[in-house]
Amino acid sequence: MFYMIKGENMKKIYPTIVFVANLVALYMIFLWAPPERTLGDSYRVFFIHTPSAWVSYLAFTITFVSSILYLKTRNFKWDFYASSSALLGLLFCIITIITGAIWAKVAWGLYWNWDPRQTTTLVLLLAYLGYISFRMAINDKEQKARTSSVLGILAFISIPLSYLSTIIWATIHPMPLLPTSKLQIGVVPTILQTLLTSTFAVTLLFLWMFYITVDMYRTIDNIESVKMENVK
Amino acid sequence: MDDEVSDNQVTNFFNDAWQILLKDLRLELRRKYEIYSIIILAFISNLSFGFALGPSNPNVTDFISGMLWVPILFIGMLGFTTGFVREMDRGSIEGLRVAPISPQAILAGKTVYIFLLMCGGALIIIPSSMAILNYSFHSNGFLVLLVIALGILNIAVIGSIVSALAMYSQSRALIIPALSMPLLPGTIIPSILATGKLAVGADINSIIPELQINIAFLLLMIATLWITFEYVLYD
Repeated sequence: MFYMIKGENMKKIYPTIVFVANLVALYMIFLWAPPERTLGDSYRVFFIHTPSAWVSYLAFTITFVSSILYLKTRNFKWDFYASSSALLGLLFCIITIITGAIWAKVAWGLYWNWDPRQTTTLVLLLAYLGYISFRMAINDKEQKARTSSVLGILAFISIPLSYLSTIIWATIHPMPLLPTSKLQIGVVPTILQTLLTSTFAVTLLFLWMFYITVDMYRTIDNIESVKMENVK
Repeated sequence: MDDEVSDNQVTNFFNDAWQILLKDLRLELRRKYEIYSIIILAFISNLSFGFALGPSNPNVTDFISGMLWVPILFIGMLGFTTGFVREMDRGSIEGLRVAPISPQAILAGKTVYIFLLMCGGALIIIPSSMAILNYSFHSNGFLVLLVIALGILNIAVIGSIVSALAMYSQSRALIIPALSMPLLPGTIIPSILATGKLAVGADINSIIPELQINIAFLLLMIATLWITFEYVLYD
C-alpha cells in the first residue's frame, strides 16, 4: 500500500496530489454538478457522505486484514496498521453518520430514522469506539496487540451484517448505485462522475492520513521503548 | 485409525468442556450471588413494567419483546463478569492455561455456563411476566422457545469472548459493556423483532429472516472464535 508513497520524492509530491484531487472534487461537488430535481442543492452532502462511508469500510477492512496478519506474523508493523486504520475509520464513520443524518433530514424529514443501514453504521461506530477504548485499557504492548487483533477480527463481523440488514429488513435507505443488467446507471452522468471523483479524492486523503498516523504510532512506540530502557 | 483419533479428540473436547462447566456451576451453587441477583432482577423488572403499563393493558403485546430481552440481557451481563474475569481475579487462569485442555473446550464450557445462567433467568422472567402483566404468546410455544434460546446462545457466545478479552484490561467494569454493546445488536435486534412478531401470533415464515440472521451470526462467531481464541488465552 505504501509503495506508491515510499520514496522521499513521493513523500513531497503526494500531499500536493491529495490537495489537487480534493480541490477538483470540491469544485465538482459545489460548482460543476447540477442541482437535483427534487432535493435541489442540499443533495450535495451525498458527495461527502458516500465517499466517507466507503473509506470507513475500507479502513475497517484494513484493520481486519492487519489483525489477521499480526496474529500470523507477530510483527508489530501490522498492529500499527490496525490501530491507525481503526482510528481513521472511526473519524470517517462519524463523518458518515453526521452527513447521513443531514441527508435523512432533507430527504425523509428526520435526522434519525432507525433505518437498518443507519443503525448498523452506528453499531460499526460503537464497535470501533470499543476497539479503541479496549486498546487504551491495556498497558502491555504485546498483550494489547494480540487481544485487540482478535477484537478487530470480531468487530469486522458487524460489516457484512450492516449490508445483510439492508437486504433482509425493509429499508427506506436508497439502494446502492449499481449498474443494471443493461449497464444503465440510475443517476445522470455528471452526478456519477462527481461521485467517483470525490470518492477517489477522499480515498487519497485517507491513505495520506493513514501514512501519517502509522508514522505517529511508530514514533510513540520508539519513545516508549527509550523510556523503558532508561528506567532499566 | 485416523477416525479413532478424531473420535477421541471430539470425546475429549466434550469431556473437557463438561468439566469446565461443572467447575463453574459448583462454584456458582456454592456462592449463589448470581442466582440471587437473577431472581431479584427478574422480579424488579417485571414489577416495574407492571407498574408502568398497568393491569390488563390491551397494548401489552407491543412491549413484550423489550420487556423480556432487557432483563435477559442484564442477566447475561452478570454472567460476563463471572466468566473469565473471575478466573483472572482469583489467579486460577494460570491453572486453566497449563491444564491439558484445548482453549476451545474452555471457551465452550464457559459459554454453556453463561447460557445456562441466562436460561435460568429467562425461566423466571417469562412465566412471571406473563402472570404479572396478564398476557400470553399467540404463537407456537416451540417457536418462542427456539427464538429465545437462539438469542440467549448468541449472547452467551459473545459474553464469553468479551469476558476473556476484558480480563486483561484495567477498567473491566467499563470495558465489558463497551465491548458488548457493538457485538450484541447483531443478535439482539433480530431476537427482539422475532419475539415481537411471535407475541402477536406470527408463524415460522414471518420470522425466517430473523432466524437466518441469528443462525448466521452464531456460526460466524463460533468459526471466528474457534480459530482466534487461543490467541486470547495464551501469551
